[in-house]
Amino acid sequence: MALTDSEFSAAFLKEATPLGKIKLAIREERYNIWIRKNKPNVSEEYLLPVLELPDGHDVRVKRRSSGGQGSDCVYVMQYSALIMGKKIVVYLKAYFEKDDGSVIGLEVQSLRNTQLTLVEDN
Amino acid sequence: MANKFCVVCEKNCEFTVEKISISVGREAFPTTAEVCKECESYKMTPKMRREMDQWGLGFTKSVVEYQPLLNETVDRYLEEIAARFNLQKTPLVKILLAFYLKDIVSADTFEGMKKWAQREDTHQYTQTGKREKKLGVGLNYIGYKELGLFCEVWNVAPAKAIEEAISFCVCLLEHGKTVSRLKEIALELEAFVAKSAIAA
Repeated sequence: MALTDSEFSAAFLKEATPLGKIKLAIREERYNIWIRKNKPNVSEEYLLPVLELPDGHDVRVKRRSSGGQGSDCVYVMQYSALIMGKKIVVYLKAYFEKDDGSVIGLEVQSLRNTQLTLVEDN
Repeated sequence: MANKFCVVCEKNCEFTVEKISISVGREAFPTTAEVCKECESYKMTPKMRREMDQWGLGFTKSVVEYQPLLNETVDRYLEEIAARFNLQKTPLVKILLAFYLKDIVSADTFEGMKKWAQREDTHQYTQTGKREKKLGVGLNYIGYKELGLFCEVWNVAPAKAIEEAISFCVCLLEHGKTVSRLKEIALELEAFVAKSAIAA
């Protein structure tokens, strides 16, 4: 049973780690992937291996320089994934969307296969 | 029209609700999205993904057709295998492709199997013969998505990926049973083709 907005927001606050928060959003299918013309993002299948990452996997949390709607922080990580028989390194950059102070989902800015593209750094 | 934060422009931009269509093979999924007026980016939401899947699964016909090139050796093998299972060539290719994408590619030993298929003594079985023949292979929505992901990951064109799948599966069916580490998957493929042939 999917969580309501308020239940999701409460569960988000309970999660102690950035990775836990990202996993929660993916598990609950609360993620939007931006379809962009410059630096196109890859498909959602590249996002799902995050659920298998160990708790200690490194996630960099940085203050969002651009501000705007949503959380103050942006989450940046890289992870290895075996997709269609190929081991690739995925770059993910995302922040959490807010509505009336409640956290409602993950906004995926960049989702890239690093072997095909050069990743952005900030 | 609304002013919202655009993650691509990294500033507040004007967004308008627009009718958009997402290309799916020769079809196009029609939907609406809030599109940034400056960079034309929009969000693919879970709701859109679900609706697109529902739309795609509603097609009883194929949504795309690819035309892999078969050399005469592979073509002859395909004809022989198809006759053995009372199949036409195109349905056989779809069965081989399904097994390749769902079972072979996901096996831990995939890289090793690929190397085997590219070895000179194996390769010679399928890479000889000059004349090349096109074969039209129509895929449904699920097939289109699976093959699309494979092509994205391996950075290969769809027709080329189908050629690779055919060549690999033909090698496996014809010669895999004689290689001890491939015997099991070769038998699995044979059983899969036999079962699928009943439904085809």
